[in-house]
Amino acid sequence: MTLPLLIEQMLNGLQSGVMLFLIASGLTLVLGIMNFVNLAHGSFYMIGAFTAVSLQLWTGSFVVAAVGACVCAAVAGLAVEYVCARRLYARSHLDQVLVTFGLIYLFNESMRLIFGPQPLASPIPPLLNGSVTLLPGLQYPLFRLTVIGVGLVVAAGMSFVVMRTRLGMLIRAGASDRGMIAVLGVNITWLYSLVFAFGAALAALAGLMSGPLYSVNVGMGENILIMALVVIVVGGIGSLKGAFYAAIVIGLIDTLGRLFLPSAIATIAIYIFMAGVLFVRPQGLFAASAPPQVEARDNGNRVTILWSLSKSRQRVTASVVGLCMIALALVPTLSAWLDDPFLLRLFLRIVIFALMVLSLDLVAGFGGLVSFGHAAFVGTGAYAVAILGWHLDHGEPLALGPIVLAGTHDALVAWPLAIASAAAMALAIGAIALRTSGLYFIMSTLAFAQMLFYLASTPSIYGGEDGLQISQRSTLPFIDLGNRPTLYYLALGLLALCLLLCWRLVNSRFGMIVQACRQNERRVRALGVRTYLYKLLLFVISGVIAGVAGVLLANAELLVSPADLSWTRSGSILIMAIFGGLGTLFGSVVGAGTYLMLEFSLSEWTQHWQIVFGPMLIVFVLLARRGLFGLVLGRGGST
Amino acid sequence: MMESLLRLEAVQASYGQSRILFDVSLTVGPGEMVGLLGRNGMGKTTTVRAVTGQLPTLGGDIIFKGRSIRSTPSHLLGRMGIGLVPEGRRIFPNLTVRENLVAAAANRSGRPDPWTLERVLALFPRLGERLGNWGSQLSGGEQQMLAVGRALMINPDLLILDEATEGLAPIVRDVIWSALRQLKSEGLSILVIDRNLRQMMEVGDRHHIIEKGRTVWSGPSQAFLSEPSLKGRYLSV
Repeated sequence: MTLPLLIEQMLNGLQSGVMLFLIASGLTLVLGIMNFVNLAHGSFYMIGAFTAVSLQLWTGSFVVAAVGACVCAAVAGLAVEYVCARRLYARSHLDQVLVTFGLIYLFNESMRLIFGPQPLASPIPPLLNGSVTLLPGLQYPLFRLTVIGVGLVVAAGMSFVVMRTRLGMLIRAGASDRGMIAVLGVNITWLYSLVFAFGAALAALAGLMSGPLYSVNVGMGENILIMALVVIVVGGIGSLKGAFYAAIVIGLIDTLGRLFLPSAIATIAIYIFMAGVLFVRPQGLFAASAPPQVEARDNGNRVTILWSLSKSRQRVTASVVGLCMIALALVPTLSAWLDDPFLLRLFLRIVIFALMVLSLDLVAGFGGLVSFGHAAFVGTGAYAVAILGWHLDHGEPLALGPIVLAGTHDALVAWPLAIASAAAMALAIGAIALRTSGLYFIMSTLAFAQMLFYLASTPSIYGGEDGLQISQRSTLPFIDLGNRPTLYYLALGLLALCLLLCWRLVNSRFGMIVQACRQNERRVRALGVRTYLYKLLLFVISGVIAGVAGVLLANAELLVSPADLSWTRSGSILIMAIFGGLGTLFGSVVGAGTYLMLEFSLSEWTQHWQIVFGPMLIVFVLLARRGLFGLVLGRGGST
Repeated sequence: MMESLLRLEAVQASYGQSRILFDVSLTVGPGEMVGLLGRNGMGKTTTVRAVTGQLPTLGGDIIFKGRSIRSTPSHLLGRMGIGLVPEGRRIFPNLTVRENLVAAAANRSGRPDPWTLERVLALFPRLGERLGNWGSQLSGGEQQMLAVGRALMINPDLLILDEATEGLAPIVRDVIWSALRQLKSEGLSILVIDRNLRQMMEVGDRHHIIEKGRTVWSGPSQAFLSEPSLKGRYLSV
């Protein structure tokens, strides 16, 4: 390692850091001031990149492209603020997450429709082509230097505006007390729109500069969004200064890590760093002395508590649930009768996803802990089954420190191990994530799941991005899981068992305490309850159920891949939970069924199904507050 | 009777399902200091919230400077000249004292002698010593002075104070009251909610008593003092 190379890599790190800052600054301002989580912020980055590339190819002018991209994204930002965000400022973070998740579907699919699925390449503007000699032996591309320069100028400019001008004072004041700012005669609505559009334009600025450096493709927004979320969590929500330093540090860690660390660790280095920061300072490094009003919002308005229903409604519920179960039990017969094996395949998937949703409902609906990384636990269970099978097939023992396992397809060995690994993962992630709450919790679970996703994507004997094939279903004595109906009945039985156990659990003293925590944790703590341990236990139990789902998923699909751990999977599970209705347990079956059947029928109809699904999701969240199960049961079930 | 600056006519308001205001009527004339009295939970703060656009009204009317402001958003009321010193002070903790004062400062009516930073500091010299401090670093009394100063900086025609001396040391309370006395002598209209009856009667011109969301008594200080039964009936606990 020579000094010039090191300096070059540090400059690269700085360059990626300032780009991250451009994304994170808009996101953190919107979060800090409006208490609004905008997952679609990455879409503005994508819109900026696509607009810039096409404008540049069309007009030949980088300047026109740059201005056009920023204006275009700002307009998109205004539209998003006006149509969606404005209705959600007072709603829970969960609603905001879901609506902006729907926006991602919409934006991604629109870009794919307009520009096609192929990545676009963007030329470096001729003026900025070439390199500069910084030191003897150190040539550095002029374009990257320009990116660093632009980023630093924007950071300085923003810092000036926010800290020194009246507009900045109003923005900061709005972050601590929106209502009071309005009483003083400031048009807060206008201020919000302005900040939103400005944040979008900044993201587009990063996007257009990313064009010549990386490829411009659909989905580019999500990767950088998650890194920006990590930046915000590390820097402290709402803190511009925190976003700046965290972005630089994370840019450096990411770039230098790839140089110095083994590849498996390098891809997850920033998440390890984030975990460390959260462990020491759950509020982030630069959380203001008087933090903005970013507090946990009870998502109680989404929760339907069954036992608060009248006796007759409870009877209705019980019969609905019973009928559903009977209908589900008849699926294999129906499938055989109709000679339609796909039906059974679809319903097996529904049953397995219902288990995932149930697991999430337990923490999100009852504990108020919105986990945006639940796919991680499912994936852990699935991967454990696949990995144990692989080791048996390849005759290579699996060495876990001092313990050496031969590998197995035996369900009696593999399944408990898989479920235990999912639980252990929930324990590890929960132990750190539960030190935080509210928004930080949502983001840190997301980031940890992403860490596992990258770990699974790293090339290894387990297939990396291609995933890992499983040669056969697990074996059980007396039961042949090779037979799909048998696997289906086993899955259905496990679902029924888990539903029953969860029902008992949430009605127990333990369940009462975690539900009380959702409503007011401080009060429960004042009663002498160590709430952290209760929430952690709830999280681990949820991990166990997710592990069961993972085991079944691996057996059903005979393939595990990083997609099973992806954040879009976590998002889907969350959407299913909302579809069904949080805090209903049984809604999980309804939610998973509705989602998967909808996905199936829409994708039969058009390949761009997400462009329909996204807006549907948005409308659903904006209008139906208590999910389908809640709708069926009608009013009166709310806490 | 002279044309009033602010007039509430049978105002009704509620929080969700629970009705708080049933029939609140009151007036504040130009240059008048009017007190709003009543026990806890009778609707005094709710009345203030309705007047400042923080709570929609269900019925009745609110007239300010001859215009109905029933459905006017908060920020326009601020621009029309209603300054609020809210319950709990609500200063901006993450702004310095100076920033708290200048953030929203404005002289929209083009007043010849507008409130400026210097004038507020002259009224509350204590704030001058704390200009660079964060709002969160101030004592309760200092925060209260800042809240009054901040409301003055938008050059209001009507100043509304909601429990402005609540929980303050007597010596600080006197500072606030002498400021109010001065503001009144300069011709500012003031609507004040306060528990300090002695000062209220001494400085205030007229008063309204609210009981269970209804105005049950209105009259000048003299009339209140000459009817000792009022205190027992509506104010004592």
